[in-house]
Amino acid sequence: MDAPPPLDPAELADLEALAGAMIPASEAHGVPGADDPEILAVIAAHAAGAREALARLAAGLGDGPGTLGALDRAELEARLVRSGGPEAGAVYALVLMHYYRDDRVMAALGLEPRPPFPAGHPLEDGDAALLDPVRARAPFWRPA
Amino acid sequence: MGESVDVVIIGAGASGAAAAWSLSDTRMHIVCLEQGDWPDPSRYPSTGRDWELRAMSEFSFNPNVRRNPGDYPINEDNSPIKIANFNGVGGGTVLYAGHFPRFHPSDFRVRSLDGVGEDWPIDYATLEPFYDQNDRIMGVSGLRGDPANPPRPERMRPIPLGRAGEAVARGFNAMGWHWWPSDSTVATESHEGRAPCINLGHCLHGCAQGAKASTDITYWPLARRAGVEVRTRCRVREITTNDEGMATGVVYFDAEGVERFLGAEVVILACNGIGTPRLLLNSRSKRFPEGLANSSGLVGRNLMFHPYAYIGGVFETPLDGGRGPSNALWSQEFYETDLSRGHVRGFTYEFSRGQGPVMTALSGMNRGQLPIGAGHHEAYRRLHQRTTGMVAICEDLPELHNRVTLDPDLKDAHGIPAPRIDYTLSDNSRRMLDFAVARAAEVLKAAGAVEVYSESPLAIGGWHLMGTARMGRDPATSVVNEWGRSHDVKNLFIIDGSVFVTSAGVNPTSTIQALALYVADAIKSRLANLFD
Repeated sequence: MDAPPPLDPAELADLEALAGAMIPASEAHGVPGADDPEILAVIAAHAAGAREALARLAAGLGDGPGTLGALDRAELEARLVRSGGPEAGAVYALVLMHYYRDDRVMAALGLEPRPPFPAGHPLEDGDAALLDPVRARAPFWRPA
Repeated sequence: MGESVDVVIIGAGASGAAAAWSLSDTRMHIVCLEQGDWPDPSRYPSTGRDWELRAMSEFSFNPNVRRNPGDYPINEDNSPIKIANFNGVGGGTVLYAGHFPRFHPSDFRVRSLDGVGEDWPIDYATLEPFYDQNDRIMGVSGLRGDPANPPRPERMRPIPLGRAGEAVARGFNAMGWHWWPSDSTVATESHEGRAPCINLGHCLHGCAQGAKASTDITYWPLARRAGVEVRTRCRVREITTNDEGMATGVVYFDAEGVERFLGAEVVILACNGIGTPRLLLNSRSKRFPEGLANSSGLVGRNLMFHPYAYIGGVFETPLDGGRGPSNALWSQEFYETDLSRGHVRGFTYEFSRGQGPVMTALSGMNRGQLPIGAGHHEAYRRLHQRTTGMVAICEDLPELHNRVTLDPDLKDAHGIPAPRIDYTLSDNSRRMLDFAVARAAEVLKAAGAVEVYSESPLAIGGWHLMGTARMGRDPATSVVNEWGRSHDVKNLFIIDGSVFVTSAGVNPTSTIQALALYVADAIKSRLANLFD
């Protein structure tokens, strides 16, 4: 199967504006926004499944292809919240899926930017004494 | 006449592998045909940075999403619960969580005890030695002494509770309700060449560590060493029969797509509760116009899932996030029938630990907990590593109208008619789910959750496929007899979840495998007069 064609400049501009409005950069949390060039490139590379939703969303919110970036960020955010709907959900899901696997975002959350395997993770055993009251119960399964 | 063997097993999953291993000591010529391929643990999602994304695509539970070459499509439009399976060596054990509860003794006498469903033709005591045998091969962790269950053999030490398990355990204790470390096939110690769990947290999408027992790494190495042959990417189209009504073998498409015939003295079906009725219904002939082994009309009927509810909570203290296996504890406080609860039969709660960063975000979005814009980051941090919960796995009762048929239009890559599912949730299941959600919310609040949410029924939760070729003594009301042989075709056996008479309120894999070992043992003990 042929790879889907990359987003055109107007689609990319709209995606950038939407990503930035959905997840803005935060100095307080030490994270880039979803419109960060590196993150945006990853989102755009995986946007094929959400392309129709992106087009419909941009058409509903803007004044034509590639115009969302001209809107004030707060205004775009307000329009997005008002619009709701499956298109906004599809684009938001796309943005979330790739934003939260960015190295800088993971590091800011206290996560090591690596796959789970082969290093694995530590996990506390927990307090075995919690089981004491349950151990004290008589068997209660039903004989048949 | 083409190639012929003593036994052909169709399907290399939980039951096919167990039966192959058991039968291998007969030294018969046994071939297993598997439509999928060998899994490659080096390609499991947890080996890459995109692990959460690949879990939603090529390692999705749902074959209609996954669309691997070994998969077949399923029309599930008329079911609120969608099918989960895995087609490949290991079958569903590749993608299961590794929960390994057993049926209770009462689960085999549902009609006698509670006046619903049907009794099984066998009992817990009959299966117990096969449960034990299966535990030894699969390797089970857990803790003996559970007051909700009959005694168990020795186990590996239980899976760590972690912070999340501790919180949930405190909640159950606060309510005065039962909980216990789960029986799990996730190895906590080295076991028969398998490395212990290192808490990858990705049990449901293939265990790259090999700590979770899937049959590609447990039964199959033993069975192959004993001479059983596994042929992968071989999809069976139909089981053929002769004028005497005996199965003569199978027609299948090999890895190159070439149609072949494999003759067999014994045919064993191990294709799960969807694949098995599909193949029987696709094996129509003049002698069997309604499908093979279907004189009762019950092939495909009585489909049972386990209706699931997920109940989660947000906590104020850090928990485990996506680290570690989920199946650390269960509760069977509400397992046995108590009609004052508003439903008959019962359910098990199974702990569900937490989620990785991407799934936390997507779940938060779906629940409306994760706004866009300036408030996004604060809201995300309120969820990140601060959610945990449980699922309720509810007993489903057999109903004739819940069924698998052949879709008139949908076909797989080989042009074989695909299955169609028609399923409705019963009133009893709805009441049980509602009760389970309400009690679990009490547990989580008692554990300190500041927000509780639920999804019921869990749409993705069609993991357990049962009842579509039920076992029984009466050929008019069952498809196979009490040792798995078709009433109609005396050299045809069924060993997967299709033969379940009722579903119990627990994950079925250990019972499926115990049944497969039991049927294989019955075959071995009757070899001289197997077809009488």
